[in-house]
Amino acid sequence: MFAQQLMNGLMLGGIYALVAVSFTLTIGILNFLNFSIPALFMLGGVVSCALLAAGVPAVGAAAGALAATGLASLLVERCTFRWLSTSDPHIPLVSSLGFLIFFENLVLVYFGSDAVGYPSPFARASVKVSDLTVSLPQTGGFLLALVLVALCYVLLKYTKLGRGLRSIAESPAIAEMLGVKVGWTVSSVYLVSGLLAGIGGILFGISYLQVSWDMGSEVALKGVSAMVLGGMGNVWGAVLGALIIAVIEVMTIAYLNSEAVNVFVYGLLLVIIAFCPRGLLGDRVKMAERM
Amino acid sequence: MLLEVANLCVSYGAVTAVSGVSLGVREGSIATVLGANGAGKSSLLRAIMGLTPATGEVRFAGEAISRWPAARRVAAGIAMVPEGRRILVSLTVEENLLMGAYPRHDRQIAADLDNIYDLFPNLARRRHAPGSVLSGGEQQMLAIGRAMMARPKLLLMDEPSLGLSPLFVREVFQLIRRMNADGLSILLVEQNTRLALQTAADGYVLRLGACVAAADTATLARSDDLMHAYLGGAHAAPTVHGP
Ligand SMILES: Nc1ncnc2c1ncn2[C@@H]1O[C@H](COP(=O)(O)OP(=O)(O)OP(=O)(O)O)[C@@H](O)[C@H]1O
Ligand SMILES: [Mg+2]
Repeated sequence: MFAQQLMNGLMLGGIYALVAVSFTLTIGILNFLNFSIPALFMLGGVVSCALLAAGVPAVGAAAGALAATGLASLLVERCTFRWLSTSDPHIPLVSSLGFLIFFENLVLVYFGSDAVGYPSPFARASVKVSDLTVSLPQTGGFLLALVLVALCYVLLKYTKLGRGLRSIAESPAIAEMLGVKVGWTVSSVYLVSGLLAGIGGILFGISYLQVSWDMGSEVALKGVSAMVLGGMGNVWGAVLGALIIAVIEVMTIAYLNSEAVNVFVYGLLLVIIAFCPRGLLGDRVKMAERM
Repeated sequence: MLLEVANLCVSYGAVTAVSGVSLGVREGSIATVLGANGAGKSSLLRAIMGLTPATGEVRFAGEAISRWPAARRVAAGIAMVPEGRRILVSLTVEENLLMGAYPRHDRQIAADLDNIYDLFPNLARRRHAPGSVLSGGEQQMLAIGRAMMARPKLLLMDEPSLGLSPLFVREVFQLIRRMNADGLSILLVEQNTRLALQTAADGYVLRLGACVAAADTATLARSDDLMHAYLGGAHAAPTVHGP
């Protein structure tokens, strides 16, 4: 029983981790908390759901959903980051919040307020390992999430684009002087961040077999908490935080009381922040140095 | 002329930092821009690099580049050692150097990196350390090495001697002469008027954003009045025919 719950928690943690890393990228590189990420997560789930329901094959549905989230993310970039340098820093924040509400309500209008069953092509495929039930789509999703996060890390740490991104994180002006196409590179951050959230949404649909217009909000709150818990701007910190939060959430539901979930999750978050304000993997070094 | 600037103006809101400056850098030569604090020297260099909005004409290697973004100017062969060095402290020494080669796509980057390390053994020893551990002089070497990694035709240098010990100042100016001897054209902004006039062939004097004198450096060095009037007597040395 405990092992089963632990596994369920880790699977959920994989999805939280994608959202947490999605937040971490825009915070760490652009110093911008992108409130629209929950909507991108939701678009990934809802658009793939609609395409699957319309009879589009799985690969096409995933591609369509990612195209939608990618475009939505670039649209958000047009209306947020471009203003960051020239205006009051609160305007892009409010603007991205506006996008969150706009996208959510757009979907609310088209799909209604009820959760919709997700016609997953993998349905409930699972295998039994002794007395553990291992869901194949969930396990696949979890591994995919870890691989994607690892790719993000490698991209940031070891590639030319990653060096450009870290230069922008430290100083957009110097990056520009060195010949980095800052506008184009910032767009790529939004694109990658949006795609991670969108993939998270698809995995959520595949794992829990339902999607809804507001599916992003709760997950995103956990994702942001995971990011803070792990240490802002640190990719692996975000993963660690996501796994911890998800396991606590699942354990609380299993052994205590489902009403008490958020009391425990956020209570613990506050305790850890009180003792360790820079997060578990955080230290006094600047964000960019850790990425 | 490798670089030709005509009637360049830069303003920040109501403040006019550069008003109608024209100057040129001959291929293979060093030109210097002199002026007191706030004269507009950095603004001029930043405008040439495409880092700040400006009006007027900038021509580089025969092409009108005024409307090019900075990245395209770097790719075309203009690099900059900015005021205060501005190395990236969150990147390692080697990553800083590689950032200098950002617009390049050729296969010589690794070889150029080795050349920079030969030139600056201090950087080679700390190649995997963060830029923040370097001393001021080493940071200046890194900023110069980073600019060289772009394989520029024209190097813009903004007060490279600022804040350096006399020993490092000498080293930086030796380096400037050596790079120039290897064919690099340089536009040098300096507060150390004496050294700048000794090093450069042509000089321009800025005052309140306007160019008030343009001549070869030997002529400028002889006009004591000018030096005293615009640069402050302390920097202007009557004897300039040194090494
Ligand atoms: N970003 C900016 N915003 C507003 N005003 C600026 C800005 N940068 C420079 N200025 C103003 O423009 C004028 C020229 O500044 P600039 O830095 O180009 O001079 P400088 O000759 O390089 O001075 P220094 O010798 O101190 O480096 C100054 O009056 C300065 O206050
Ligand atoms: Mg200056």
